[in-house]
Amino acid sequence: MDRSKRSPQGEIVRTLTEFLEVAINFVVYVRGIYPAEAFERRRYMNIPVQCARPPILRDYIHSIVQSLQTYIDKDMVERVAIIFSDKNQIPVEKFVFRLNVNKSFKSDFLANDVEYALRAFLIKLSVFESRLQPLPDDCAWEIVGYFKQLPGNSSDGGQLWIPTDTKHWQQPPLITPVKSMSSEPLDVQLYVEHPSESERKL
Amino acid sequence: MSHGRASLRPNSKRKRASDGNRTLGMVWGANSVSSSKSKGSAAFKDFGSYMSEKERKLRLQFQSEAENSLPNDAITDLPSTSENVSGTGNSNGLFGGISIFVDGFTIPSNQELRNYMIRYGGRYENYFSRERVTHIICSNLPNSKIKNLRSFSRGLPVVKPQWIVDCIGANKILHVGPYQLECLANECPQQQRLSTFFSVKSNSLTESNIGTEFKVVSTCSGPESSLNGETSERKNDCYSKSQEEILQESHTVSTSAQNILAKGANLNEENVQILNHEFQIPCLLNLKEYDISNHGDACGENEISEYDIFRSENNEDISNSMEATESRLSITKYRSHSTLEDANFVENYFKNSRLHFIGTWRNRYRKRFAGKSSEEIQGQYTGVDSSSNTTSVADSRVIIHVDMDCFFVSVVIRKHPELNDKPVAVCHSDNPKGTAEISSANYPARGHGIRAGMFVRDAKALCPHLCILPYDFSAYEEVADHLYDILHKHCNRVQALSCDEAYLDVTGLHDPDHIALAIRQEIFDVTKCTASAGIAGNLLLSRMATKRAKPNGQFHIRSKEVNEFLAYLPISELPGVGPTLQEKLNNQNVHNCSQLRSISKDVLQRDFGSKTGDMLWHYSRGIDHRQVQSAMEHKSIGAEVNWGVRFNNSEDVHHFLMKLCNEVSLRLQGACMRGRMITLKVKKRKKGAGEPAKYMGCGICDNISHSVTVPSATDSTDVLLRISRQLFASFHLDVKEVRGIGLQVLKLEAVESCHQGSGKNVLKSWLASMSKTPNSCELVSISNEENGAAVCNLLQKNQLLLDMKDSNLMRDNGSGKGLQNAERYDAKVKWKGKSLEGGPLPHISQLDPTVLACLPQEILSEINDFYNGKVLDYISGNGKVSERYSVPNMDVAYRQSTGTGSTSRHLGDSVLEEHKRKNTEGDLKTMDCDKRQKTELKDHEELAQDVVASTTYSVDVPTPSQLDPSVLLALPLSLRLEIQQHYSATNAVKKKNSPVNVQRKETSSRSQFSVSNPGKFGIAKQGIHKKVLGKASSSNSHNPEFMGKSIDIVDRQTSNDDAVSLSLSQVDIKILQELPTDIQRYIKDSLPAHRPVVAPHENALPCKREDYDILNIEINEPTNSCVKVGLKGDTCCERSFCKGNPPEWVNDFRLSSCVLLQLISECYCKDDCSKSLSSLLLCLISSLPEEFVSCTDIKEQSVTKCSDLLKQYIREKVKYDIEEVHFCVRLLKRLNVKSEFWLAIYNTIIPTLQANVGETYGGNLKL
Repeated sequence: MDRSKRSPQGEIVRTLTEFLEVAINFVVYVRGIYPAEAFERRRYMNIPVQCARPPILRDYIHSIVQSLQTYIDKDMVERVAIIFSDKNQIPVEKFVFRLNVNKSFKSDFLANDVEYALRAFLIKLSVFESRLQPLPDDCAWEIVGYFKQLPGNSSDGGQLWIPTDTKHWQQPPLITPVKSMSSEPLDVQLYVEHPSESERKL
Repeated sequence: MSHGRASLRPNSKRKRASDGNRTLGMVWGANSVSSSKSKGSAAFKDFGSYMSEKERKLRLQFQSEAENSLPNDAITDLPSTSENVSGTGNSNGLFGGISIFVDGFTIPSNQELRNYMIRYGGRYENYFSRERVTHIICSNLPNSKIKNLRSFSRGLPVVKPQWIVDCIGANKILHVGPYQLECLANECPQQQRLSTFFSVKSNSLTESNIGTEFKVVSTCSGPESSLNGETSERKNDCYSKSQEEILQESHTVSTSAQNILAKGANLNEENVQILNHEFQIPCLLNLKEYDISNHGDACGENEISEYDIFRSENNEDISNSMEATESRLSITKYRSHSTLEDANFVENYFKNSRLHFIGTWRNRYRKRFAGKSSEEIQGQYTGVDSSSNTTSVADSRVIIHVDMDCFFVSVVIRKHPELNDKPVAVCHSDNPKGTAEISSANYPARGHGIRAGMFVRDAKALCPHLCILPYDFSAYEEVADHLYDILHKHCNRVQALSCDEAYLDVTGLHDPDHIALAIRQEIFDVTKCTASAGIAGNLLLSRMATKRAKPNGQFHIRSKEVNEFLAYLPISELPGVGPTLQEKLNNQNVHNCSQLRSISKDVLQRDFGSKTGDMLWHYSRGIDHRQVQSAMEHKSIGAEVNWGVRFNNSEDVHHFLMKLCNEVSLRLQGACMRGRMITLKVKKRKKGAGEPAKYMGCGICDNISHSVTVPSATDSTDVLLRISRQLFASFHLDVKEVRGIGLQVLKLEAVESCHQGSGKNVLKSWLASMSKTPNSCELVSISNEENGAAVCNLLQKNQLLLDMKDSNLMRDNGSGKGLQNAERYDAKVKWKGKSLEGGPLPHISQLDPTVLACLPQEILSEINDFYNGKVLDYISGNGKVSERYSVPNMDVAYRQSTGTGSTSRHLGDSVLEEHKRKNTEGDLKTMDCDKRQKTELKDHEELAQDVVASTTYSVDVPTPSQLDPSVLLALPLSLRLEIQQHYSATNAVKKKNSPVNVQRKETSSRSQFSVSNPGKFGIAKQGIHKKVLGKASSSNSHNPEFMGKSIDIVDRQTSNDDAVSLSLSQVDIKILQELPTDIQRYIKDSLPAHRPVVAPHENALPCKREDYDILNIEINEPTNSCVKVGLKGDTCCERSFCKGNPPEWVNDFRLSSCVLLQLISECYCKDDCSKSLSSLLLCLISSLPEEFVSCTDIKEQSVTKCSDLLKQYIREKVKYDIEEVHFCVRLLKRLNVKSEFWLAIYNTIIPTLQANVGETYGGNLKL
């Protein structure tokens, strides 16, 4: 953390991962996988968000995001997806954060601007629930990182990651954008994927 | 006066008769003083003149007394009479050159001592004089004098009177060591300064002087073995008197130095000079006839440098040689004890290393007995193999183990029987407080508890009288050679364990006891050293028998006595049982072999590991299956220095490695081996470890090592250096922490033909024959500088082919003068020409020109400087041989490069390259260069001529293919033309093959050197090295900064320019693009017009870097629309609607005929909709009048225009802001229910939209 604060890039990555952690927490809350009692209300960037209370859940999210940080820093992560699957392990919904960190960005960036933009994601998420179908019972969820290149085992955290065996949809999914932000140092887009109509019928 | 003396004589005789009456002597002295004073008081101006007059009279008195008392004995050995060789048998000359001063009360009295001196040819001084007195005799000293010994003794030896008595008794001059005052021997503060050659305070000048002298000794103590009959020849015919003196002088110097060294702390000896003579007899038998006592007045000097100066002042006739000696001394004066202060450290280190001696001795042995032993061992093997390995055979074997008794000591003292029963040890240093380790001690010393490996200070504490002597490696070598001669004479199957230890397999020969006895007797007869022998049925037992036999005995363990012998043998006696193992066994209550035998093999193997357990089990039963064999095969060759290694910076390390590599390379060559694997070991101070207890030792260290395997076996210094530097760098060490470095070469392969060995032999015989001819005598007698240089050169040439040891011998062989020259050479050549800085340079031919080319300028110029002499000499020398090279030009060229200090790489390269070209004359070159380092260039040339003429080297001009064109390019024009002419004249046939000519076959060879064609790119050619081209062209013309980049193209371009056909398609367009426009134009202009290929390519590529991003988009977009959209075929009409502020479409729409579009444009401008179309659409929905929204008057063109705008917008946004795209589409959806127009647009853009989204996100946008 201290180290990353020194460079603007590190600062962005730090902010981004922090945001991701909060957002994932929030998404999990929004999708109602766990009972609402499992979450507590907190403020992040002055936005009320829900944060997982059970340490296991919180640590899971935290550790994943932390291990992602290295790769985000290296600009290896293309997408981070929160995948909700039904009991047959078939995904029913994906929340996708599409990341693009501009590594060459050198000038001072205003952390406030980025935070401001990211805050909109959280606000959007909180109202987005209404546009989603409730998930089926016995859902499971996982976090999947899509890498531009496979991380080597040598780097720290690399061994925590395994190739996903999540089943893929046969048809191109339907995309519902949630929020996008585009700035010089950082592009983030959040959208939700659902299986296409034809897929659902299968 | 004579009367007075005469009248006194009976008086003094009477005094002599009255035994030990000191008071009377004083009275006598007082009387004589008063009498002389009363007689001539008026004559003295002051007290000084009075005293000198008095002393003169006393001396006269003494002399006449001596003459009169012993009229028949010649008292001729006063210092001024140099011719006299006082026969050692003559008792009168016993104290020749010795002048004593008696201080205080002594027994016998000073009068007695005076009489002894009278009788035995010495002198007695009544008054102390630094100039005349050589020894101070006293029994005890007051504390103040001890504390201030130096001012008291003035550096003279302070000896007990017993020494004189004993000398007379023994009828020879004894070593003063045991007789010096104990207080001096023990704790004299000054001694420390004088006595150490590896002392604590290494900066002390005196110490380093002595250290230096040690070096001298080591080089000149060998002649007795090799000079043989030559001395007589010298003496008889060739040598003029002055020559004799020179020789004598140089030997005196060296021997006295040797003595001073040998005595070390015991410098307070009396009569140094005579002792010197005595002491050196073993070493310098053949020089015995020279009287060296004539310099007695100087011998008391403790400071060797003083000594030398004094000598040279007083002996004009030998001043030349003395100067040489001095210069030699001054060169090596600063020798010290760590890598920090001593450039020659590695060399000196190994010169003084006993282990190194033992190691190199093996090579020597192998060469000497190679033929013999291999055959014999072979025979033995076959014999043993055929008769199988059954125990019965093993039992019947008879092995003799021969081991010299304290070899390193006994060899040194073998010519000094008087030291036989004194405790003597051999060690580098005899500083009584030092931490030098004793390497060997004789039996009397061992009786005091002194052991090998002990620090000197501990040993001195145990035995204050311990006499410590330095190594005498040449003597060791000689004795070892004798030993093995004898062993091989008696027995065929000899396994040499070390220089002083061997196994002999005498199975089948007659009585082994008899053989052992004969061998031992013969060893003693020949070498004057004793040996012990153990006889038993196998190696183990014979070795243990030797242990029992020592000293000077033999012991036979017969097979039936084995059990008996072993039963109560302490386990520590078993070879392989060290302190640790012993302690472990003792803990198990095992103290002797019978106890050990009671433990089963399994248990032993379990407790101590399979090998050790096996060994213990077998050894405790006296079983040893090893064969006597020649175990001389090298597995690895290397050198390691763990003492005195201290570095300040990486440069130090580099120098050190350089020298180490040199050493290893020499060893490899000495062993005729090359290796493929190179291991560098580094000792690094363990973290937290303090300064080691042993002075300059390595202390507690971490060992790091790394290996590299090279493709082909090597023994070359530069390969070793390169790799060792790489390895060292790979350790990433702080150089200050390094305490030791070792370099090993493994995976050895024998060199097929042993160049080194044969070369050595040839040269040896050459030199030997030379030294027997009158010619050689001339060489020897030369004492002026120029001729000396010639001698020097001859020697140098020899030395190039010799390993260090042998070269030392050689130098001695040559002559005293030669020795000096060689010494000088040693210092000069090996150490960069300046003795005190830097390490040995690799041979110039070993320099890799490509590496040089890559070096930074300053480093290169530095290297250039290092090779200055060589370069110069080489060129001039070569010029003489091959006349076509104009020497003046070359020299001028070179002078320019160095003289002007121009670090110009061209010239540096070229000169070095020149050398490489001619490396066939390596010897000549080195020779030349050294010779001329310090003299004028002119002289050099002349000398070079001489030397070249005198040697038979034929210098061939290298073939043109060996010439590096880059070097040629860098040469001055005139020089190049000359070279070129030479080649065109001589090597016309080879011309085609030479790279120089390859570059332009068609053009005349003259034009190929036309560098100075400014408009074009001169002489650039296709294959030429980039850098050189860059340099050449930049110096010629255009923009240097991009020349580097454009080498290829320019290269070709210029070739083309020079009428070599080249098509533009060969031009790398990328490089062309990067060139500035004027160059581009130039290139295009010069290209043939009928090759238009380039143009489209060029256009297709972005021209300017700034535009690149934008262009990239422009280029890519058509592709996208082609592939993904493709429906309307509208790919070509790409216009950037969204660019600009306001965007282009705003104006476009405004100017359009469609009212709707005008409205949109208006709306955009009015609301200033922050440039996002979604907000515009939102705006439209809310603000547009109903009729317009629902307008049915749709023009196809308007729809197209609008949809194009949206498509472009989507494409731009889809990647980064899908939200916006989504929003727009949803707004459109809302609009399209109201109007046909929007529906049409919506329908038009949706496929584009989904295609783009699908491409980016792998899915469809949910609408």
